Amino acid sequence: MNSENDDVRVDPTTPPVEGRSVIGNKKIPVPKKKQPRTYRVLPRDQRNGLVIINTGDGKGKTTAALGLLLRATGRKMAVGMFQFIKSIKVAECGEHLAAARLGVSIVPLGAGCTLHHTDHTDNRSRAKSGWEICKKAIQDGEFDIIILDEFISPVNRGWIDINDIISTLSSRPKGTHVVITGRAASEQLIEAADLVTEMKVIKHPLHDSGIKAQVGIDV
Amino acid sequence: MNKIPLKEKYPLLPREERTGLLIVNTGNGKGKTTAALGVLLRAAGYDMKIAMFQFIKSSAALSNGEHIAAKELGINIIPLGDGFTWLSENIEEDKKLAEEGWKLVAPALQSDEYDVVILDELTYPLTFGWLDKNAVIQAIKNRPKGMHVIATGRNAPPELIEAADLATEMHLIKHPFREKGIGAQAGIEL
Repeated sequence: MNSENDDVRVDPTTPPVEGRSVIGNKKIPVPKKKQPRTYRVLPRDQRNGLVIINTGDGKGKTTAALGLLLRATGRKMAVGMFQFIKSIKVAECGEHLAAARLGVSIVPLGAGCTLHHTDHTDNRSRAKSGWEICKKAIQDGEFDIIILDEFISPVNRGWIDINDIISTLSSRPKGTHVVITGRAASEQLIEAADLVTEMKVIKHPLHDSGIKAQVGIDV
Repeated sequence: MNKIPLKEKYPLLPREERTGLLIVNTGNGKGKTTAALGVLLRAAGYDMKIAMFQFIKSSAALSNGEHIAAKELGINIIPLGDGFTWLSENIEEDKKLAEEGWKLVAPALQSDEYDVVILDELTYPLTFGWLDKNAVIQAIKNRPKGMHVIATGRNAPPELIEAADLATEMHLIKHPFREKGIGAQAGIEL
């Protein structure tokens, strides 16, 4: 092997010479050569549509759903994102602006944070009508991925019929992925899901250091 | 409708007034890299300058959805590795790649060019000893004020968590591959 080659750092963004590592011109193992072919987007009827739940007290539930939005958009998949709780007033967060640039619209369905609300009449009816919109979007098969953000709280409050949700999910068009986020997912929802991740707090900037939400990171 | 655009209500503060966070996404569950990508999307919405480096991942990853979409937003995600280590013939080579990669990452952490620097799968080179743990953490600590750094990967070393402002463990409850043998799919996992 040429030792001169070893010192040359090839630009990692250039595609590798087929079957050769970017450094040292060494042979790379066979599985890697196959990867790009295996991971093309399959036709919808050959996909395994997943129900994905991001739950837990930690950060990263909505954020990970946004990451999926980014990935899927890159794969030219149609993504629909619906946000319960979040109101139209705050619908210009970083994610909305960037998603709009990618041609994805994130639809807010709520009336803002419900933490300090005492009267939930408005929130309940918003959640109910919001679910009807989502249900239609799931059944229509227009989207490859449907994200229901902060969906779990209205479900847990009993504002949306859980049986309706479960039957809508199980009868959805084949190959449709549904992503659900929110704290404290119920057993019944977890039962219906294929992939469940709990985001656990190890350290939190607000609780541990009093650092508040920041633009570009949290909103 | 006379709503105030959020961008005007909560403008992006000048860098010296921001609190630069070190965010660590760790754990055995899914969503570590994905959540970092979500922050990338948010930050891109505010026109922040973002650099994302991926240890371990090879240039085969360039055809992944996140790379394509990020490029559309004007962000290059740079893979520094040679694929996952269990495919590797030579650990020495992986170590060398990590070191070469760090030569790209270190200047990015020092420069004031970026608002957000994402170090994807950073924990592996630290755990395997390919990079000097203390030097890496020191470099992160010495970054310009107001720069956010996100590190992802399983088994984050305690020193990294200690240095972090925000650490989240993604905990696996149910996994499509483990439970149903459903493999990775384009648009979801990559």
